[in-house]
Amino acid sequence: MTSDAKIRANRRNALRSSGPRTAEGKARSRQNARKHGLSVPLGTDDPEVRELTEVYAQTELGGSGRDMIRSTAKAQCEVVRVQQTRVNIINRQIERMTDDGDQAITSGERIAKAIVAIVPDLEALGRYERRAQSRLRRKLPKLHEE
Amino acid sequence: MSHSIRPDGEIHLPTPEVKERPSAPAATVFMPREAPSQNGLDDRSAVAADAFAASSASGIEALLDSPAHAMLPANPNDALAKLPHTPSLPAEGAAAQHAKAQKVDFLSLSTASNIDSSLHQAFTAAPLQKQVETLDRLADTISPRIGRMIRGAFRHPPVIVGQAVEDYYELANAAIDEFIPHGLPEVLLLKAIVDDEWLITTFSQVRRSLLNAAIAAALVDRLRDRDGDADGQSSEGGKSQSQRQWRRTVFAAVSGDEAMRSLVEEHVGRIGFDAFAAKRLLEDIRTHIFADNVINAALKRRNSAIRQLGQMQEARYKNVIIRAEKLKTMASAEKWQSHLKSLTDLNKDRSSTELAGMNQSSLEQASVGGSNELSERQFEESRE
Repeated sequence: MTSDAKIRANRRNALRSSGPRTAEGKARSRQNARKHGLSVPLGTDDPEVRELTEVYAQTELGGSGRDMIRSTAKAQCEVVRVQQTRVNIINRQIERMTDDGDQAITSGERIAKAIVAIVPDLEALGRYERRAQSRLRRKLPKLHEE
Repeated sequence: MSHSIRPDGEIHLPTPEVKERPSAPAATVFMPREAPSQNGLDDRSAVAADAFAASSASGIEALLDSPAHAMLPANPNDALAKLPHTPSLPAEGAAAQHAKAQKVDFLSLSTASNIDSSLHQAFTAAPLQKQVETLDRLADTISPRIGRMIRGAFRHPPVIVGQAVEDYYELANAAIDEFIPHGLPEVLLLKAIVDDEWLITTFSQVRRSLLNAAIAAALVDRLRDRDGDADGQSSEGGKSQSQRQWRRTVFAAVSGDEAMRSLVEEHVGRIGFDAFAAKRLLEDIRTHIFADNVINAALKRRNSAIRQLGQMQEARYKNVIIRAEKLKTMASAEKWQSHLKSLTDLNKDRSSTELAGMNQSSLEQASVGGSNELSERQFEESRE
């Protein structure tokens, strides 16, 4: 049980520190709760989306409209984003293990050991992956019909 | 392949007979520790994307006209290709790295059978550039337009450190060769098929590695206990050294090295999945379940994508047939029309001559009729 004196001291100290004041500090603390950023949908002005839209719009000869191609490119970028997030998480864990003097013999074993350590994180990505995949899948028949 | 145990107890593994080559792109492509980029794509992908962006600055007209080899630099994976092969170290450093790689091979890899996928790839497979060229060649064989689309879709390979990018592109090439996509929806479905297949391969390897690790760990425990009991070793250093040695031997045995296998079986009996291994496996059971789920989901997605792609291609084929039939009909209709026209012309000629003939006969008939009328009139006048 925290004593009253301690609570009072904490409140006094909290008044003295009211969070980050500089723009840099605020920008950093804004990202405190960010885990992977997958819950935020990609915007159509995202550079990846724009670039892929350009490629597909230039090469698709069917009668697909620009909006349709843009939304397909966006859906595909979201799928790729989830895949790359998974790869990044595993890679970072492998790097951490190597730094800690891991004695894994083969790279397959190293990958397996890394995945063992981060299963909860990877499981959390499943939801985003399913969502992104189904979004993309829904677009394809429409694109094909056009 | 022979092995020997030295008097000091150290197990001497023979030199591998496979062709040695410094490899493991894993060591050169480690991810930095900084936070991921804004859109979550890794740095290798970013490098690839940069290269791709530079290449995509050119217009589509030029791309459509350019031959396949001229489009090679446009590939974003050229940047990836340079990563494992760029000699960033001086000559001595490279030599030392090569020697280190050989040492590691000597210690841990007794035969090709226990060489992991990336090392095996480095030993046997063609360089990445060749794979990329094959991708380009295949893609451009279909058409430069589809080639560009394929490169756009496949520019972020989901390859983990330790895996070979070449494997991924080999898989992509095989899929392109098999399905030959036409149009954006088919290219995207193809990408989904390749990614799911890659995921299935990756997690199958993970599952196999975990199983092997559980069997090996159980064996190492038994061997260490047996050694400890026999030698009466009490020092931690001695135990850990013995454990390391047994670990190498056991992993080689579990991975399929017959010599190591017989060596281990001499000490602990038949190698296999037993109660000890099951006990070790339970420690990682959540990962097994996760790997199973990932594989099952990827299998479902892949099969569904293959089905969908088949339907699209069938529809395209049907469309082509329908279009061909229409053209055929139109062509035959044209023929028929021309035939009809010629017939009409003929009829016109015939009708004019017939009409002329008919007029003549009618005149004759009329004249005959007239004569009849005249004779009748003459007959009536005579009667009056």
